[in-house]
Amino acid sequence: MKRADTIARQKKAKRLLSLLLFVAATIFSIWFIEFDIAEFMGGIPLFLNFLFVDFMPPNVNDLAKYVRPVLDTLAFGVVATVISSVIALVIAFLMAHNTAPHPAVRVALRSVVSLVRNVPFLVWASILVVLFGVGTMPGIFALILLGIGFLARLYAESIEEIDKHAVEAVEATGATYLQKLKQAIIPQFMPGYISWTLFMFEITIRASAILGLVGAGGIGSQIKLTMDLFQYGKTATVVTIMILMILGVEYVTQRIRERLL
Amino acid sequence: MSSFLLEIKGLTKKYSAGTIALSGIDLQVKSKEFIAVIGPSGAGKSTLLRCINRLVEPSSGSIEFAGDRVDQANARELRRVRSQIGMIFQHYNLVNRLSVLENVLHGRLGYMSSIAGMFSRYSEEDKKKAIALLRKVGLENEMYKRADELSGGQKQRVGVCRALAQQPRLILADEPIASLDPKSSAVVMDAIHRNCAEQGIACLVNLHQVDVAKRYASRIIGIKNGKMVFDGPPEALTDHHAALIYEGKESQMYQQPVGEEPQDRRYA
Repeated sequence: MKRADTIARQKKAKRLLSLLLFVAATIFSIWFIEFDIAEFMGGIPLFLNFLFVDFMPPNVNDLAKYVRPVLDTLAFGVVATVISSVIALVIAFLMAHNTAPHPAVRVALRSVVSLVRNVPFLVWASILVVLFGVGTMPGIFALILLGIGFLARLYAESIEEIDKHAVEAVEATGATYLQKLKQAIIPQFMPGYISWTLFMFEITIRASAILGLVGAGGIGSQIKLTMDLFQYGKTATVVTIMILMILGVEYVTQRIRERLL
Repeated sequence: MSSFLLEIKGLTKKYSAGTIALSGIDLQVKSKEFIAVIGPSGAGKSTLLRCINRLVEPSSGSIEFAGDRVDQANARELRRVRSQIGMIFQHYNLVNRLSVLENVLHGRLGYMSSIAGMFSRYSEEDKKKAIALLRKVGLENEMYKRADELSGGQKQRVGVCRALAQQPRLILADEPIASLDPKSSAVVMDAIHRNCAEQGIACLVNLHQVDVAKRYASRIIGIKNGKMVFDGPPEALTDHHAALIYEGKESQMYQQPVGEEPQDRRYA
């Protein structure tokens, strides 16, 4: 009884300590970055003013000019998704523990994929802009890297989750590694593959909108361009187009998903 | 080269956790024998069957199948041995998202080139034989259905067809009826027994139920705690022997563990 009491008290003390630490960290951070609550509150009307006065009304004069960047962005999305899904598929089979040909391959690929994924996407884009210059190439490369990092891991996890009993049965018939892959693993992995790839396409579209900000092409460039010229009415139009495009893509992928799965 | 189809000597399996699943099993199987392996759950029956085609790696001992040392076989030799040994599983182990026919045709993979097998380039003859097998077990109308649309008993008949499609010399059946109701159990056991007899296939079938074992088997082997404690014709297996084999787990002797689907299995 006494023991239970001590444990309960210890738990309570621990909880209190964590709370105190958390509060201390918050206060220290606010002080450290000189966060000014008054300035923050005062900024809200400024922000709303910017959003509703400077942005309004949306300037739709150049509507025809935006068709091309929208198509560019969609095409980036398709190309980047297809290429990254093919590369990620191969990597995923080599790094999922039930299909990896050798543990060393698995560990090595896991580290590489982890590295690619943990460098933020905008950092990749900035590096690639320096390498390839401003234009569409760095944008597509950045999206492909984003896709590989994201898909390789999710594919590998899907492959690891499939029913291993059916795989065992196909193995017991004397099937080779490739036969086992194609006849037992891929059919079971198909729903995961389709679902993650479509999700990746949505992410790519959203990401390619951001890419323009670092000069990597697409609809995002129009946001940066109009903002830099203080043509906020046009910015509003572009942002609206972007939102509509993302919603449209989400709708289409949802329909495809319903049809296929 | 021995005169037996399968000859096991001193087979021992230790799992890495330290449990000894099998210790010093000696077993000779002649062709066309129908052997029931009985024993309580956890006795090592499943491990014994899986060591024969090396789905589980034996720790020591020798296994000779049709003149080949299975325990020493390299990857290619092992595939050849496996192609001649059909296997039937408690949970059917079908690829759920493929059709019934495709699942049966998987039995042919071991006889095909890697690429042909990958792309399902089965010969016309293989397809005809697979369809004939399905017709024989009464599944000709389910051929093009997805495997997960079938009932448990139907799935197991597909499993039997897959094993038979290999035209094997030996069939290993691991608790083929443990997840089925009594009626489906009889259909499945009949299908295994009849086809093995007709085609001269030897069969090792793991069973819980002593009565089923006695009804079908030409020879019964009793396993308890990883050791063989009985080997003889069904008539020789008295109630006394059975009681000894199942000592402490008597309830498993006749009881059908119906609906014994483990929780973690997901049929997506």
